Amino acid sequence: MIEVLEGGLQTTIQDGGRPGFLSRGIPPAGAQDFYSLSIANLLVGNDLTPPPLSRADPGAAGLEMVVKGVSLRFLDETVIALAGADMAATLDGTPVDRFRPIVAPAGSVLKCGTVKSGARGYLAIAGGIDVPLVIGSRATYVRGAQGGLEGRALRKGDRLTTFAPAAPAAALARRDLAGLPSAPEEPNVIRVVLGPQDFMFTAKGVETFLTAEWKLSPVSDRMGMRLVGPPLELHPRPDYLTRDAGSGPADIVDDVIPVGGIQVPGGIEPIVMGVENPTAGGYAKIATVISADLGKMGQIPPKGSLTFRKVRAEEGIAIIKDIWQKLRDARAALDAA
Amino acid sequence: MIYDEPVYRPLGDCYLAVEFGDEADLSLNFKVLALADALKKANVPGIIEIIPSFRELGLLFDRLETDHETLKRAVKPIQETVADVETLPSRLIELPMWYDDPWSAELARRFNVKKNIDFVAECNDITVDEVIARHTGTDYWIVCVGFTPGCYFSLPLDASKWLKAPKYRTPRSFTSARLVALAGFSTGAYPVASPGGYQLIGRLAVNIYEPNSKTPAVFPEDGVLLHAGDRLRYFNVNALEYDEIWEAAQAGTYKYRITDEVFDVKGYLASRKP
Repeated sequence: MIEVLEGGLQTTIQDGGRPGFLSRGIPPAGAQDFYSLSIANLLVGNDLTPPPLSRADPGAAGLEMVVKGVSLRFLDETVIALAGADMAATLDGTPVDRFRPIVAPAGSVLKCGTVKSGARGYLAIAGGIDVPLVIGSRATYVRGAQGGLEGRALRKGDRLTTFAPAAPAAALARRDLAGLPSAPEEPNVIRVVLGPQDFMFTAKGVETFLTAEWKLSPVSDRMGMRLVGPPLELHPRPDYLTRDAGSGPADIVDDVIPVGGIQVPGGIEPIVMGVENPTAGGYAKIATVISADLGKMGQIPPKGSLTFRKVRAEEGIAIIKDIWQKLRDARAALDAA
Repeated sequence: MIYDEPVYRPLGDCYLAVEFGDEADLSLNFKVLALADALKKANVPGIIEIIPSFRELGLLFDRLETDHETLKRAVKPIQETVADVETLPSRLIELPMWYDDPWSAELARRFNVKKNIDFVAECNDITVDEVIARHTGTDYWIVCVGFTPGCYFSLPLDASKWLKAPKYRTPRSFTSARLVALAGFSTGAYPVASPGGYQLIGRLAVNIYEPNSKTPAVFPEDGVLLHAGDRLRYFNVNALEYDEIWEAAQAGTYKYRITDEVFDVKGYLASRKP
């Protein structure tokens, strides 16, 4: 049993999410930075968090903490691991490292503070958090009040239970990252596939998008991350789109908004869709963030800067396949040791 | 524009989209839904979900199993077989609605705008009774379910019954659940309380999003009642009927009016030509 002493700013139970209900208006939710949750799960012997929008089992549920983390009391001895943003965590007052298993004795208190770098910290707990599966996943969809603990962020007084750990604490404590990087390279370079509506922007508009330095607006969450930067020039639209879609220069007749899609209403302030994305909408999307970089996007702090880099769709697939294979290889190596 | 040949576009590394055109014409949605239906039957490997929208079919696929090019090669021959849509499976769902309800009126006061149904009447130069008669006098075709859980976009099949109205200039920060609203080409309803900018005309006496429902035959595991390709027929209920239906629905005893039908797409498209 784990007692929540402080909920933090927005701490939610997340796993790999629930893709497959987009046509019902239900976004996948899950960890915004799947890689960080996945390596935290790896360290405590849990099932890995798969890449977003994959068919794989969603893996063990852990905590996603935004900007300011939780404080927890472990009523029983528990093995935990932290990954993602540095939240200056302490265990009974002593600073603890990220990216390695930590044995928390019965009665010990973990305190996470405010992020020093990045935006989202992840905490995995050996065994994984035990909350009911909601259409296949334990992920919290905050805006839809679905999954997790009563569909909401954690708060003081909540109690969490976990499934049985995969191995005794002493064995789990010997695990490490097996050579995996703790975070991706070039954290501020977000790779995108152009489209689906890049053709609505002028060559200059696309060029501006790919060369500008963008800043993350504080008005950002798991649904969408808003960027501040130069306006993006659009071509004039045919008249019938004014009738059918609206008068704005980026208005289109509604289509599918992918997770990672970058909408540019009115040609200003692009919005990068997160894992709680609206599944349909009516603004031109200049590009789509590749699934491997949704986590990088989730780690940009408020007012932090980033640039975009164009890749081909097949490169996006190759990158995520490589990351997922390395995670599974590391898991197999650790389990065999 | 309705494209001569559908355009295939990647939406990042996880989705492939098949786009039939870029305008708000129902014939595009019929093609989208016909392709969705054909792909479901064909069981194409690697597809996780088929996602209809107004004018484009989104395909979420597993990138460990397939990729855009492989999927396109599998989808294209199937897409070519659905060039002329004859019929589509389409449920007719009759929804009880209290037109000109007190919640919509209260929200208009709270957000300092004219009562929306009065405004819709004014926009169309008719009375409120005529707004209700028009709105109940045609079936609405659901082109897409999306945006938020269970939210839908629908168009009147009888275009002469279209009620024109603009969206709010500044969207409301709050809308009660189950309020029915229209703007532009679409009528929709708010499945749960949320912000919104459509003109409010009434309130449904039943949910359209009900997770853990006492009526699991109507609300599947995901809690969403409506699908793209369903037809909606609203019927007007008074305050007393509204309460009775709401209570029965929550108790699991309300008999939902849902009929499986086949919609004659070809006949419909021929009849709407001037």
